[in-house]
Amino acid sequence: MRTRFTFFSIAATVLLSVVAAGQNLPWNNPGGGQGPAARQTGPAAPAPRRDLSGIWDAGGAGIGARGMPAAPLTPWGDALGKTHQSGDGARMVPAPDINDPLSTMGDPAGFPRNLLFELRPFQVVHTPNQVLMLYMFEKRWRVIWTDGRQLPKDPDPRWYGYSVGRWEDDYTFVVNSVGTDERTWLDNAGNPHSNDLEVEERYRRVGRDLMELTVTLDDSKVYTRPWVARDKLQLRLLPPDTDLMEMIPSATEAAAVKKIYAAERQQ
Amino acid sequence: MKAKLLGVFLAAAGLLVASAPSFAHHGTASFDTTRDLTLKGTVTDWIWANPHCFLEFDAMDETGTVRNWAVEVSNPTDMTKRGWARGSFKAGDQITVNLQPVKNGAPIGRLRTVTLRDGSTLL
Repeated sequence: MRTRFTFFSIAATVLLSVVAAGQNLPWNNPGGGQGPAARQTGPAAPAPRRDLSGIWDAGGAGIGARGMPAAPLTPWGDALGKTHQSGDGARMVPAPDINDPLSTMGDPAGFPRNLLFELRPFQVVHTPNQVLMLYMFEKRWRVIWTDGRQLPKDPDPRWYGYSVGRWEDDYTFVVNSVGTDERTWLDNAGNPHSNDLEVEERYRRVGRDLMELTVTLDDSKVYTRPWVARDKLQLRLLPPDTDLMEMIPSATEAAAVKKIYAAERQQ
Repeated sequence: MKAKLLGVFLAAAGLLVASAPSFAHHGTASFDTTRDLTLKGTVTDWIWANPHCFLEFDAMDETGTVRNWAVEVSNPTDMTKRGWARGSFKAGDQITVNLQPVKNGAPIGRLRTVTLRDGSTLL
Protein backbone atom coordinates (compact mmCIF):
# COMPACT_ATOMS: atom_id res chain seq x y z
CA MET A 1 0.00 0.00 0.00
CA ARG A 2 2.84 2.35 0.89
CA THR A 3 4.60 1.53 -2.39
CA ARG A 4 1.40 2.26 -4.31
CA PHE A 5 0.98 5.61 -2.55
CA THR A 6 4.61 6.54 -3.29
CA PHE A 7 4.21 5.58 -6.94
CA PHE A 8 1.07 7.69 -7.40
CA SER A 9 2.67 10.61 -5.59
CA ILE A 10 5.69 10.54 -7.88
CA ALA A 11 3.56 10.12 -11.00
CA ALA A 12 1.23 12.98 -10.00
CA THR A 13 4.20 15.23 -9.23
CA VAL A 14 5.76 14.51 -12.62
CA LEU A 15 2.49 15.26 -14.45
CA LEU A 16 1.81 18.44 -12.53
CA SER A 17 5.41 19.57 -13.02
CA VAL A 18 5.03 19.18 -16.77
CA VAL A 19 1.80 21.17 -16.76
CA ALA A 20 3.22 23.83 -14.43
CA ALA A 21 6.40 24.13 -16.49
CA GLY A 22 4.31 25.36 -19.39
CA GLN A 23 2.96 28.18 -17.26
CA ASN A 24 6.17 29.65 -15.87
CA LEU A 25 8.35 30.08 -18.90
CA PRO A 26 10.52 33.21 -19.05
CA TRP A 27 10.11 33.11 -22.83
CA ASN A 28 7.19 31.99 -25.00
CA ASN A 29 4.75 31.66 -22.12
CA PRO A 30 1.46 30.13 -23.33
CA GLY A 31 -0.64 31.75 -20.62
CA GLY A 32 -2.75 30.15 -17.93
CA GLY A 33 -4.06 26.63 -17.63
CA GLN A 34 -7.03 25.13 -19.45
CA GLY A 35 -9.24 25.47 -16.40
CA PRO A 36 -10.32 28.75 -14.85
CA ALA A 37 -7.31 31.03 -14.66
CA ALA A 38 -5.95 31.09 -11.13
CA ARG A 39 -2.71 33.06 -11.28
CA GLN A 40 -2.11 35.62 -8.58
CA THR A 41 0.75 38.07 -8.48
CA GLY A 42 0.59 38.50 -4.72
CA PRO A 43 -1.83 38.85 -1.83
CA ALA A 44 -5.35 40.04 -2.63
CA ALA A 45 -5.24 43.80 -3.07
CA PRO A 46 -7.70 46.54 -4.04
CA ALA A 47 -8.05 47.61 -7.66
CA PRO A 48 -6.17 50.70 -8.75
CA ARG A 49 -8.35 53.60 -9.85
CA ARG A 50 -9.05 54.00 -13.59
CA ASP A 51 -6.34 51.57 -14.62
CA LEU A 52 -6.57 48.30 -16.57
CA SER A 53 -2.82 48.07 -17.25
CA GLY A 54 -1.31 44.63 -17.29
CA ILE A 55 -1.46 41.23 -18.96
CA TRP A 56 -4.81 39.50 -18.46
CA ASP A 57 -5.72 35.85 -18.96
CA ALA A 58 -9.08 34.06 -18.96
CA GLY A 59 -7.45 30.61 -19.04
CA GLY A 60 -9.52 27.89 -20.69
CA ALA A 61 -12.71 29.93 -20.33
CA GLY A 62 -11.41 32.32 -22.99
CA ILE A 63 -11.21 29.69 -25.72
CA GLY A 64 -14.90 29.31 -26.54
CA ALA A 65 -14.48 26.11 -28.57
CA ARG A 66 -18.20 25.37 -28.81
CA GLY A 67 -19.30 28.88 -29.70
CA MET A 68 -21.80 31.05 -27.86
CA PRO A 69 -25.52 30.50 -27.23
CA ALA A 70 -26.87 33.29 -29.41
CA ALA A 71 -30.24 35.04 -29.63
CA PRO A 72 -32.76 33.84 -32.27
CA LEU A 73 -31.88 34.74 -35.85
CA THR A 74 -33.86 36.90 -38.24
CA PRO A 75 -34.58 35.37 -41.68
CA TRP A 76 -31.66 37.38 -43.13
CA GLY A 77 -29.38 36.19 -40.32
CA ASP A 78 -30.52 32.59 -40.72
CA ALA A 79 -29.73 32.66 -44.44
CA LEU A 80 -26.27 34.07 -43.76
CA GLY A 81 -25.66 31.54 -40.98
CA LYS A 82 -26.52 28.65 -43.30
CA THR A 83 -23.48 29.50 -45.44
CA HIS A 84 -21.17 28.94 -42.46
CA GLN A 85 -19.82 25.40 -42.09
CA SER A 86 -18.20 25.53 -38.69
CA GLY A 87 -15.80 23.37 -36.73
CA ASP A 88 -18.09 23.15 -33.74
CA GLY A 89 -21.51 24.03 -32.39
CA ALA A 90 -24.84 23.74 -34.24
CA ARG A 91 -23.26 24.22 -37.69
CA MET A 92 -20.51 21.64 -37.10
CA VAL A 93 -19.36 19.66 -40.14
CA PRO A 94 -16.51 17.15 -40.64
CA ALA A 95 -13.09 18.80 -40.72
CA PRO A 96 -12.62 18.64 -44.53
CA ASP A 97 -15.86 20.60 -45.02
CA ILE A 98 -15.16 23.48 -42.63
CA ASN A 99 -15.16 26.87 -44.41
CA ASP A 100 -14.18 29.02 -41.43
CA PRO A 101 -12.19 31.90 -42.97
CA LEU A 102 -9.97 32.09 -39.90
CA SER A 103 -8.84 28.48 -39.71
CA THR A 104 -8.92 27.54 -43.39
CA MET A 105 -7.59 30.70 -45.03
CA GLY A 106 -5.76 32.58 -42.32
CA ASP A 107 -8.19 35.52 -42.49
CA PRO A 108 -8.23 37.77 -39.41
CA ALA A 109 -10.52 36.61 -36.61
CA GLY A 110 -11.83 40.17 -36.57
CA PHE A 111 -13.82 41.91 -33.87
CA PRO A 112 -15.65 40.80 -31.79
CA ARG A 113 -14.67 37.20 -32.57
CA ASN A 114 -11.31 37.90 -30.93
CA LEU A 115 -13.25 38.24 -27.64
CA LEU A 116 -15.51 35.21 -28.20
CA PHE A 117 -13.06 32.66 -29.59
CA GLU A 118 -9.44 32.03 -28.61
CA LEU A 119 -9.35 34.92 -26.18
CA ARG A 120 -5.84 34.11 -25.02
CA PRO A 121 -3.80 36.41 -22.78
CA PHE A 122 -3.80 40.06 -23.80
CA GLN A 123 -2.07 43.17 -22.56
CA VAL A 124 -3.76 46.50 -21.83
CA VAL A 125 -1.73 49.67 -22.30
CA HIS A 126 -2.95 53.19 -21.47
CA THR A 127 -1.77 56.22 -23.42
CA PRO A 128 -3.02 59.79 -22.82
CA ASN A 129 -5.74 59.44 -25.49
CA GLN A 130 -6.10 55.69 -26.11
CA VAL A 131 -6.38 52.30 -24.49
CA LEU A 132 -4.48 49.70 -26.52
CA MET A 133 -5.32 46.02 -26.33
CA LEU A 134 -2.56 43.71 -27.52
CA TYR A 135 -3.75 40.16 -28.10
CA MET A 136 -1.54 37.07 -28.00
CA PHE A 137 -3.81 35.23 -30.43
CA GLU A 138 -3.04 36.49 -33.94
CA LYS A 139 -0.56 38.97 -32.37
CA ARG A 140 -2.97 41.81 -33.18
CA TRP A 141 -3.96 44.98 -31.42
CA ARG A 142 -6.97 47.27 -31.08
CA VAL A 143 -7.07 50.99 -30.49
CA ILE A 144 -9.83 52.24 -28.18
CA TRP A 145 -10.02 56.02 -28.33
CA THR A 146 -10.55 57.81 -25.01
CA ASP A 147 -10.22 61.39 -26.28
CA GLY A 148 -13.96 62.00 -26.30
CA ARG A 149 -14.55 61.47 -30.01
CA GLN A 150 -17.84 60.00 -31.20
CA LEU A 151 -18.15 56.77 -33.14
CA PRO A 152 -18.30 57.30 -36.92
CA LYS A 153 -21.65 57.47 -38.69
CA ASP A 154 -22.00 54.97 -41.55
CA PRO A 155 -18.39 53.79 -41.24
CA ASP A 156 -16.44 51.89 -43.85
CA PRO A 157 -16.29 48.35 -42.35
CA ARG A 158 -12.99 47.20 -40.86
CA TRP A 159 -11.85 43.78 -39.64
CA TYR A 160 -11.53 45.21 -36.10
CA GLY A 161 -14.12 47.98 -36.29
CA TYR A 162 -14.00 51.39 -34.59
CA SER A 163 -13.96 51.71 -30.80
CA VAL A 164 -14.32 54.44 -28.20
CA GLY A 165 -14.05 54.01 -24.44
CA ARG A 166 -15.00 55.86 -21.27
CA TRP A 167 -14.85 55.31 -17.52
CA GLU A 168 -18.32 54.75 -16.16
CA ASP A 169 -16.90 54.84 -12.65
CA ASP A 170 -13.41 54.45 -11.21
CA TYR A 171 -13.36 50.68 -11.84
CA THR A 172 -15.61 50.14 -14.89
CA PHE A 173 -14.34 50.88 -18.38
CA VAL A 174 -16.99 50.73 -21.12
CA VAL A 175 -16.10 50.33 -24.80
CA ASN A 176 -18.55 50.84 -27.67
CA SER A 177 -17.74 49.66 -31.17
CA VAL A 178 -19.27 49.78 -34.66
CA GLY A 179 -18.15 49.28 -38.25
CA THR A 180 -17.22 45.59 -38.12
CA ASP A 181 -16.77 43.55 -41.28
CA GLU A 182 -19.50 40.97 -41.82
CA ARG A 183 -17.12 38.60 -43.58
CA THR A 184 -15.95 37.55 -40.12
CA TRP A 185 -17.79 35.09 -37.89
CA LEU A 186 -18.75 35.82 -34.31
CA ASP A 187 -17.46 32.56 -32.88
CA ASN A 188 -16.43 28.97 -33.53
CA ALA A 189 -20.06 27.93 -34.06
CA GLY A 190 -20.23 30.17 -37.13
CA ASN A 191 -22.75 32.59 -35.63
CA PRO A 192 -23.04 35.42 -38.16
CA HIS A 193 -23.19 39.21 -37.88
CA SER A 194 -23.75 42.13 -40.20
CA ASN A 195 -21.86 45.35 -40.79
CA ASP A 196 -24.49 46.99 -38.57
CA LEU A 197 -23.36 45.15 -35.44
CA GLU A 198 -22.92 47.29 -32.32
CA VAL A 199 -20.83 45.93 -29.45
CA GLU A 200 -20.51 47.00 -25.84
CA GLU A 201 -17.65 45.70 -23.70
CA ARG A 202 -17.65 46.29 -19.96
CA TYR A 203 -14.35 45.77 -18.13
CA ARG A 204 -14.93 45.85 -14.38
CA ARG A 205 -11.78 45.71 -12.29
CA VAL A 206 -12.83 43.84 -9.19
CA GLY A 207 -9.41 43.82 -7.53
CA ARG A 208 -5.79 44.32 -8.40
CA ASP A 209 -5.55 40.80 -9.83
CA LEU A 210 -9.08 40.22 -11.12
CA MET A 211 -11.19 41.80 -13.83
CA GLU A 212 -14.57 40.82 -15.32
CA LEU A 213 -15.56 41.21 -18.96
CA THR A 214 -19.13 41.39 -20.23
CA VAL A 215 -19.79 41.62 -23.98
CA THR A 216 -23.21 42.58 -25.33
CA LEU A 217 -24.09 42.38 -29.04
CA ASP A 218 -26.85 44.29 -30.81
CA ASP A 219 -27.42 43.49 -34.49
CA SER A 220 -31.09 43.81 -35.46
CA LYS A 221 -30.36 42.75 -39.05
CA VAL A 222 -29.24 39.31 -37.83
CA TYR A 223 -30.72 38.74 -34.36
CA THR A 224 -34.20 39.35 -33.02
CA ARG A 225 -32.85 40.95 -29.84
CA PRO A 226 -29.56 42.07 -28.23
CA TRP A 227 -27.70 39.28 -26.41
CA VAL A 228 -24.87 38.83 -23.94
CA ALA A 229 -22.04 36.79 -25.44
CA ARG A 230 -19.65 36.99 -22.47
CA ASP A 231 -21.13 37.40 -19.01
CA LYS A 232 -18.62 38.50 -16.36
CA LEU A 233 -15.82 36.43 -17.84
CA GLN A 234 -13.06 36.36 -15.22
CA LEU A 235 -9.66 37.63 -16.26
CA ARG A 236 -6.62 37.17 -14.02
CA LEU A 237 -3.54 39.36 -13.98
CA LEU A 238 -0.36 37.62 -15.13
CA PRO A 239 3.10 38.62 -13.84
CA PRO A 240 4.40 41.73 -15.62
CA ASP A 241 7.48 39.91 -16.96
CA THR A 242 5.37 37.35 -18.86
CA ASP A 243 6.67 36.92 -22.41
CA LEU A 244 3.73 35.65 -24.43
CA MET A 245 3.94 33.06 -27.18
CA GLU A 246 3.17 33.80 -30.77
CA MET A 247 -0.11 32.14 -31.72
CA ILE A 248 -0.66 33.15 -35.30
CA PRO A 249 -3.06 31.27 -37.60
CA SER A 250 -1.00 31.87 -40.74
CA ALA A 251 -2.25 31.14 -44.24
CA THR A 252 0.71 28.83 -44.86
CA GLU A 253 -0.04 26.69 -41.82
CA ALA A 254 -3.77 26.70 -42.58
CA ALA A 255 -2.99 25.39 -46.08
CA ALA A 256 -0.79 22.60 -44.67
CA VAL A 257 -3.55 21.46 -42.32
CA LYS A 258 -6.18 21.79 -45.06
CA LYS A 259 -4.11 19.49 -47.29
CA ILE A 260 -4.24 16.76 -44.64
CA TYR A 261 -8.00 17.11 -44.28
CA ALA A 262 -8.36 16.99 -48.07
CA ALA A 263 -6.76 13.53 -47.98
CA GLU A 264 -9.53 12.46 -45.64
CA ARG A 265 -12.16 13.61 -48.14
CA GLN A 266 -10.49 11.73 -51.01
CA GLN A 267 -10.54 8.41 -49.15
CA MET B 1 1.20 -4.49 -10.76
CA LYS B 2 3.24 -1.37 -11.34
CA ALA B 3 2.53 -1.50 -15.10
CA LYS B 4 -1.19 -1.83 -14.36
CA LEU B 5 -1.09 1.13 -12.01
CA LEU B 6 0.82 3.15 -14.58
CA GLY B 7 -1.86 2.32 -17.15
CA VAL B 8 -4.61 3.45 -14.80
CA PHE B 9 -2.74 6.63 -14.00
CA LEU B 10 -2.05 7.48 -17.64
CA ALA B 11 -5.66 6.77 -18.59
CA ALA B 12 -6.89 9.07 -15.83
CA ALA B 13 -4.39 11.75 -16.73
CA GLY B 14 -5.29 11.42 -20.40
CA LEU B 15 -8.96 11.81 -19.60
CA LEU B 16 -8.16 14.88 -17.52
CA VAL B 17 -6.14 16.49 -20.29
CA ALA B 18 -8.48 15.40 -23.11
CA SER B 19 -11.47 16.83 -21.28
CA ALA B 20 -9.93 20.30 -21.45
CA PRO B 21 -11.40 22.44 -24.23
CA SER B 22 -8.19 22.49 -26.21
CA PHE B 23 -9.40 21.20 -29.61
CA ALA B 24 -10.72 24.63 -30.32
CA HIS B 25 -10.74 24.51 -34.10
CA HIS B 26 -13.19 21.67 -34.61
CA GLY B 27 -15.28 19.15 -32.73
CA THR B 28 -15.71 15.41 -33.11
CA ALA B 29 -17.71 15.24 -36.36
CA SER B 30 -14.91 13.54 -38.31
CA PHE B 31 -13.89 11.00 -35.70
CA ASP B 32 -15.14 7.54 -34.85
CA THR B 33 -15.37 8.03 -31.11
CA THR B 34 -16.10 4.31 -30.58
CA ARG B 35 -12.72 3.19 -31.96
CA ASP B 36 -9.33 3.16 -30.38
CA LEU B 37 -6.18 2.05 -32.26
CA THR B 38 -2.65 1.45 -31.08
CA LEU B 39 -0.02 1.44 -33.83
CA LYS B 40 3.77 1.08 -33.84
CA GLY B 41 5.50 3.15 -36.46
CA THR B 42 8.23 5.48 -37.65
CA VAL B 43 7.90 9.26 -37.67
CA THR B 44 7.95 10.84 -41.12
CA ASP B 45 7.09 14.43 -40.15
CA TRP B 46 6.09 16.57 -37.15
CA ILE B 47 4.07 19.61 -38.21
CA TRP B 48 4.06 22.29 -35.49
CA ALA B 49 1.20 24.49 -36.74
CA ASN B 50 -2.05 26.28 -36.02
CA PRO B 51 -4.85 25.38 -35.76
CA HIS B 52 -3.51 21.85 -35.13
CA CYS B 53 -0.16 20.13 -34.93
CA PHE B 54 0.09 16.86 -36.86
CA LEU B 55 2.34 13.87 -36.25
CA GLU B 56 2.87 11.86 -39.44
CA PHE B 57 4.23 8.33 -39.30
CA ASP B 58 4.40 5.08 -41.27
CA ALA B 59 2.78 2.07 -39.66
CA MET B 60 1.93 -1.41 -40.89
CA ASP B 61 -1.66 -2.58 -40.63
CA GLU B 62 -2.88 -6.12 -39.96
CA THR B 63 -2.65 -6.97 -43.71
CA GLY B 64 1.00 -6.05 -43.86
CA THR B 65 0.38 -2.81 -45.75
CA VAL B 66 2.33 0.25 -44.65
CA ARG B 67 0.19 3.41 -44.52
CA ASN B 68 1.28 6.94 -43.75
CA TRP B 69 -0.84 8.21 -40.87
CA ALA B 70 -1.49 11.84 -39.93
CA VAL B 71 -2.76 12.28 -36.38
CA GLU B 72 -3.64 15.62 -34.91
CA VAL B 73 -3.18 17.14 -31.51
CA SER B 74 -4.04 20.64 -30.37
CA ASN B 75 -2.24 23.85 -31.33
CA PRO B 76 1.37 24.72 -30.36
CA THR B 77 0.22 26.94 -27.49
CA ASP B 78 -1.78 24.22 -25.77
CA MET B 79 0.76 21.51 -26.54
CA THR B 80 3.48 23.68 -24.97
CA LYS B 81 1.42 23.72 -21.78
CA ARG B 82 1.50 19.91 -21.83
CA GLY B 83 5.27 19.78 -22.25
CA TRP B 84 5.42 19.17 -26.02
CA ALA B 85 7.72 21.22 -28.28
CA ARG B 86 8.61 21.90 -31.88
CA GLY B 87 11.52 19.50 -31.38
CA SER B 88 9.60 16.66 -29.73
CA PHE B 89 9.95 14.37 -32.78
CA LYS B 90 12.19 13.96 -35.77
CA ALA B 91 11.87 11.79 -38.86
CA GLY B 92 12.95 8.24 -38.10
CA ASP B 93 11.86 8.20 -34.44
CA GLN B 94 10.26 4.91 -33.43
CA ILE B 95 6.92 5.48 -31.71
CA THR B 96 3.81 3.75 -30.44
CA VAL B 97 0.68 5.81 -30.98
CA ASN B 98 -2.73 5.42 -29.43
CA LEU B 99 -5.30 7.23 -31.57
CA GLN B 100 -8.93 7.69 -32.48
CA PRO B 101 -9.34 7.30 -36.28
CA VAL B 102 -11.65 9.23 -38.60
CA LYS B 103 -14.90 7.54 -39.63
CA ASN B 104 -14.21 6.92 -43.31
CA GLY B 105 -11.14 4.72 -43.00
CA ALA B 106 -8.52 7.26 -44.08
CA PRO B 107 -5.22 7.01 -42.16
CA ILE B 108 -6.04 10.15 -40.22
CA GLY B 109 -6.95 10.49 -36.58
CA ARG B 110 -6.75 12.26 -33.29
CA LEU B 111 -3.76 11.36 -31.15
CA ARG B 112 -4.37 10.26 -27.58
CA THR B 113 -0.90 9.25 -26.40
CA VAL B 114 2.46 8.64 -28.02
CA THR B 115 5.22 6.57 -26.46
CA LEU B 116 8.80 7.07 -27.55
CA ARG B 117 11.41 4.33 -27.80
CA ASP B 118 12.92 5.35 -24.44
CA GLY B 119 9.56 4.60 -22.81
CA SER B 120 8.58 8.22 -22.16
CA THR B 121 4.99 9.09 -22.98
CA LEU B 122 3.46 12.33 -24.20
CA LEU B 123 -0.27 12.90 -23.83
